[in-house]
Formats: sequence, C-alpha cells, structure tokens
Amino acid sequence: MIDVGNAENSIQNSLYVLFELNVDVYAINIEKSESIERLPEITRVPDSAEYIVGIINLRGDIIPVISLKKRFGISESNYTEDTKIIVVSSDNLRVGFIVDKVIEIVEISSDTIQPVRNLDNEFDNSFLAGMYDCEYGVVMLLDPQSVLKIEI
Amino acid sequence: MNTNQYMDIFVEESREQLQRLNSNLLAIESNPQDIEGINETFRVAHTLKGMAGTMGFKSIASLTHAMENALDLIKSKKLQINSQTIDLLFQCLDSLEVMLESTIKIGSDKGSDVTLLISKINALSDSEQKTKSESVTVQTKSLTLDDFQKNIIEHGFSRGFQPYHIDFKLSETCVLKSARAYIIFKALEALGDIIHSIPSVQDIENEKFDTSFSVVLVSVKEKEEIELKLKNISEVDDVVAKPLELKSIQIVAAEDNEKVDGDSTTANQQETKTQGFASKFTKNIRVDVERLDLLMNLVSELIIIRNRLQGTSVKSNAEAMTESLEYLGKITSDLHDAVMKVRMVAVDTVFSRFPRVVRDLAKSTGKEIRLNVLGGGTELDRTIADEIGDSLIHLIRNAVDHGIENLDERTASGKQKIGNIELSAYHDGNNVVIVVGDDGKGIDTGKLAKQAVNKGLFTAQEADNLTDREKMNILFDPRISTAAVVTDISGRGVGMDAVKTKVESLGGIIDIQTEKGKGTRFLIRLPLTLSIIQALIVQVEKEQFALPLGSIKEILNASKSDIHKVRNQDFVSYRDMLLPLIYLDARLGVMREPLNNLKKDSLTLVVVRKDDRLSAIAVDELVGQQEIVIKSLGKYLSDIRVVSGATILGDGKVITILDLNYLV
Repeated sequence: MIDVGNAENSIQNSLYVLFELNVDVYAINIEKSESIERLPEITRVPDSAEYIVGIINLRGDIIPVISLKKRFGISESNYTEDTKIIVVSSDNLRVGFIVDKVIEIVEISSDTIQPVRNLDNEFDNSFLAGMYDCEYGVVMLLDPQSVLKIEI
Repeated sequence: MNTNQYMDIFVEESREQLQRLNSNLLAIESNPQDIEGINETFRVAHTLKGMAGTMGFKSIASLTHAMENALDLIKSKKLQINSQTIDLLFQCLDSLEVMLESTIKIGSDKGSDVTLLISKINALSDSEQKTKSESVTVQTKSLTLDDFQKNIIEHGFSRGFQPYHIDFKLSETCVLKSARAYIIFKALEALGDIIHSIPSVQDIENEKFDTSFSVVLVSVKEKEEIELKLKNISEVDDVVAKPLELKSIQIVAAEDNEKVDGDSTTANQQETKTQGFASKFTKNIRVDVERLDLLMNLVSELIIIRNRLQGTSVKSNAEAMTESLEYLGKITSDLHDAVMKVRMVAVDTVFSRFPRVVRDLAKSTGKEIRLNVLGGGTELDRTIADEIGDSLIHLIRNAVDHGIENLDERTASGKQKIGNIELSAYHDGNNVVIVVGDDGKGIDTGKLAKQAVNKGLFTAQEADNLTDREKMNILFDPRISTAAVVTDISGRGVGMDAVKTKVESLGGIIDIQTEKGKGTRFLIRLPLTLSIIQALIVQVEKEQFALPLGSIKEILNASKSDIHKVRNQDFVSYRDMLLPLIYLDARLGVMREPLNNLKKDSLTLVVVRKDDRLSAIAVDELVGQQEIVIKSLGKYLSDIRVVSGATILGDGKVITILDLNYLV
C-alpha cells in the first residue's frame, strides 16, 4: 500500500482459503468460494478443453470442474484422499476447482497483500490478484474471474 | 404515488391489452358491422388509457384517449370505418407498442411524439363530421397547423397577406397526377407562398393521393383571381378557395391533448373491466415464470429419486415395496404432467400477432391474402412458444413474398384471386407440429439446384444426381439462403438456415413439402417440453451417454461382414442402403483399455435420423430406455455442441446427453 492517507478505511481484513497445488500455496477469497467438497465421481465432457475435467452432481445441480494445475500448465498428479473441489462462484458462473489439499482458512489484511512479482516464467501471472508472505512461504492470491475467462 | 412496484403488472397487462386491440382491429377491418367488436376495442383503449394514466405515462394516455374518441365516433356511426381509419388506428397501435417498450427500457414514455397521430385522428373525426354537415363537393379536411405555420399566417396577415384554404380536384382521366400537381404548385408559388398541404408535398409527389388535395396559401391576391388562374390549368376539374380566419385554424398543441383525468378513468376502468371482460375469461393467476421453473426442478428431483428407488427395489425384491413404488411412480408422472401443463401456453399467444403481419405484408405487396389459422388452442411449453415466433414470421414472410403469386399470375394459372396462407398447429404424440403453408407457386427445385451450382456448392453433374429432397435441402444452406436467392425463394437478412438452426436448437425438426404450382408447406415438429425427454442410455467402455429417443429410428446388430470401407469412411448395409457409420468411442475420444481394442465380431448400432438421412452409431452396450431430466451444462461449457445437456441418473451419477443433430 502506497497511499496511507486514509489507512483506517482502506485496510480490510478478508478471509482466504489456502490450498496446495503441488508444492505451491494459493489462496482464494472466501467470498468467491461457495463450498469445499470431497472429490465425487466426475463425468467427462467430450470435446471440452483439456483443463476441464468434467461435470459433477452437486446436490442436484450440474457444475463443471476444472483442474487448476492443467489450467496453469503445471503437471497433473494422481488424486488422493486430500484432493478437494473448491466450488467458486463468480459472474453467475459456478465452477469447481480441483486442488491437491486445502490447508486452512486465514484472515489476510489488505495492506499485507503485495503486488504480483515474477517468480518464474512457467506460470501465467494474469491469474493472480496479489501475493502474501506467511509461514507457508509465498502465497499466491488467485483471481477466480481471470481463471474462468474462456479463451482458447 | 410511487408506481414502480406496479410496473411489471402494467407492462404485462398492457401487452395483453395491445394484443387484444390488435386482434379486435383486425376483426373490425374484416367485418365493419361488428358492433360488439367495436365496443370491445373501445373498452380496451379505455382500459389502456386508465392504466397509463395511473402510471403517469401521459403520451400513452393521450394517444389512447384520442383513439377512444375516434372509436366512440365509430360507435355512434359518426365516423365511417374505411381503410383510412383502420390504418390510422393500426398506426396508433404500433406507436403504443413502441412507447410500451420504451417504458420498459427507460421507465418513461417521454420522447415519444404522439402529437402527429393525435392530430391525424382529430383531423379524421373532424373531416368526417364536416363532410356530413356541409356536404361540400370537394372533400375538405380540417386544418391542423403547427405553431410555426401559424406564426407565418399571423405574420403575413398583419402585412396584408390573406391565408386561403384551396381545394383541388383533378380530372378523373388525369394520368400523371403528380406532374399535374407539380404544375399547380408552380402556379401557386407565382401567386403566393404555400405553407401547408394535405396530403404532404412528398405524398403528392409520390402520387399518394386520390384526385383531390388541398393547400394553404398566403397571398396578396383576391380569391377570384386565384381561382381563375388555377382553373385555367388543364385537367383541373374544380378549385375552391376559401379565405381562412385565424381563429378557425386548429393549432396542435401537445399540452392540450395530453391532459388526462387520471382518477376518474381508473375508476371507470375498474367498472368496464369487471363488466366487460369477466364473462369472457377463465380465472387466471399471474405467476412468475421463475417460480414455475422451481416447481419444475422439484418435480425433476422427484423423478430422479423415483428412478433411484425403483433401481434399488429390483435388488431388494420385496413385493409390497415394489407395489408402493409403482404407485409412487404413477403419482410422480401425473405430477410431472400437471406441472408441465402449468408451463404450457396456447400457441395462439404466438399466432395472434400474425394476422397483422400478413395484413401489412399483403398491403405492401399488393396481393390479396387470406390467413387461415387452425388449432390456435394447441398448447406447448412457454419457452418454446417464446423462441419459435421469429422463425414463423420468417416463414410467413417468405410465403407472402415468394410463395403467393401476384394477382396476374394467379388469374393466369386459373387460381382464386385470393391467396391462402395456412397456419396450423396440432399435437402428434409427444410433439407439437406447426404448419406454415401457402397455395402459391411452390419451390422450383431445379432453380435451387442451379443456384447451388452457380454458388459452387455442387458441380452441374452432381446436381443432376440429387434427389428432389436433397435439392430442397439446399434451401437451408447458409451459403444459399442469404443473399443469392432473395428475389426467388428466400427473404432478406435472416435466412432459412437460421430458421432451421432455431428449430433444431429447440429439439425439433423442419420439413418441406412442395408441389410446383400448388404451394409449399413447412412442417415444424417440436417437442412438447424441453426439460424432460425419453432417452436411450448407451455405454461405451466405462462411459454412459444419453441419446434422445426422438431421433432414434432403430437398434440393430451388425456383423463385421456388413461393414464396408469407402474412402476411409465405414458404411454399414441397412436394408438397401449404406449408412455412414460413426464409432462413438473414436468420435467422443473415449479411452479404451488396451485389451478391449480388439474389435468384436458384431457391433451394436443405433440408427438415427437427421432430416431424411440415416446414420448408424456404434456403441458397446445398450443400458436402457429412461425418462430423463435435462439439465443445462451452464454458461461455462456452452460452446460444446456435441453435448446438449446432462442428466442425473437414479444413482446420482451424471451422464451427458448427446446432440445427435450435431453428431451425425
């Protein structure tokens, strides 16, 4: 935060879900995430993009699930007991993100969020809303909207 | 008063009233003696006025007020019903529709200019009364001038210019009326300044007048001199010039016309409503469509759980259980039917705007056309009804423009002068069939094939080998149906391919029957409802897919020897035909266990129909036939065309529903 003129009003504390993809830690604002689900049976959708794993039955609703790792171009590993789906809703879209492990929910103050800096070239920075340092190392805050942006 | 909360109701009711107004006007046009129709129209206009007044939409209120006045005159026989009055009332209706849409968009009807229409109505009512009372030889129309014109007159008056109202009557034998009028206008300009003409100068130039027209002229010359000068022009039968007095000029002032007595009209409106309509309509409740959707979703859930229970009871095998389950199954089906019926609307809601469309089209093309509507009470799902309208309009437009011949051609081929357009709907099993037909010249398939060859779709040789049906299908080709054949077969912008795409997106099929010289019929077959269908569930390796039963013709087993390879494409012999063979595993990218790659000796084939072509789809196994609830894949996956939706099976498992139209 550069502007501290009106610090009391501009600092906000928000809750974030911390989760793992391989060895890296990411976070999603809890306001954008609806629920965390155990991995159900996923039905493949023919002709869909590679990172779209399929669709699931979420209490009577059909929602698509995507592999964040494939979306980010990280190598996919096998699902385990820890593999979870974080259901994200943004712009009237409800989509499940497959993550390796949900760590915990933490409160992050907006003045501790740092701008995105280049870590390595493998990763597409446009999915990130910011970064945050904590005991788990550098946490990358995801911007669900840009993750869900349909390109191809 | 804050009226926002009533806005939805206002819009909904106004739409209904406008629709009713539309059909009533059409009824009056075809039968001017229909007193009850006129009364009904009057009541509708009155109701609209009241509603708009309450909501504070002044322009709507004042226009309906003017319409009401005109209708009142018609009622009391002071105003005749002729094409002029009807046209004007239709114009008002169009204007009301535009204003209603603008109230939806911007929450106000401001900016809509109704003064012109109102003055036209007033002029009409006045002129009628005048012709009755004064019985002048030349038909006079009341003068409605705007402020600007009035200023000129006033200004001129003070400087010795006298305004005259001059009526002209041209000789009946006059051939070039607009040219003659031009000469008259030249002469008038030599005499003074023309400040107004009825009809407008443009209309006169375009010969849009009978044999008489009138102008307002300001001049320093005497009446006699003017009349003499003008009578000397040849082919002018009569000229009557009347000096105008300022106070006799009616000035159109928007404010005066816009005063509506809101309170009293609403009170009256309540009365008319209860008296006039109560007897005619069954009891209705207005329900938000979303609530119906919710109800439908719940019923869908119920069906899923029923299927699941039935699945488990097969295993457990307790008799009492099975019996109750069957009963539950029956109730669920009934409940589903009942909820589905709630969502149904009569196809009339779509059809009711077409008489007007046909009328306007007939007028503009100069053809005489009768629209025969049959089966308007046939019901179909509201969503389908909402979606299919534009396609039907397109077909009707085509029928009028290109199907029905012009009068000369019809007489030459010994047909009735009046062309017929058939618009009908009926139930056929689980489908609704809508027919748009005409008794026009039919579609020339040879011509179509030629167009296709010119466009490079086929070579001339290939075209020769096409069947009539295949030639007909050229009509739906996007490359053909847009610009190329505008003059002959298709309409303008929206092509026939758009119609076909729309019908197919609704899960329907479109078929053409045509006979040269006899006419053309378009048959649109639509599902009754979009949300629940009968499907065949098939399995490939470990994956299951649902295929809509409607497109499936037959299931068969084929042995390897039935399969022939032609240019990298496999075909299977079926009766006397060779059907293209689609391997579902390869087409959908199903992962095979390495061992299963060895092809089996016999194949299970699902024969599906698209248009008139058959194709065979190879699957591993048939799981069964089942009623399934269609769920959308959502916006995120909307670009995947091979899958039209998904469904949840009894065991909670999700399977995709394949779009056979796209697949084959």
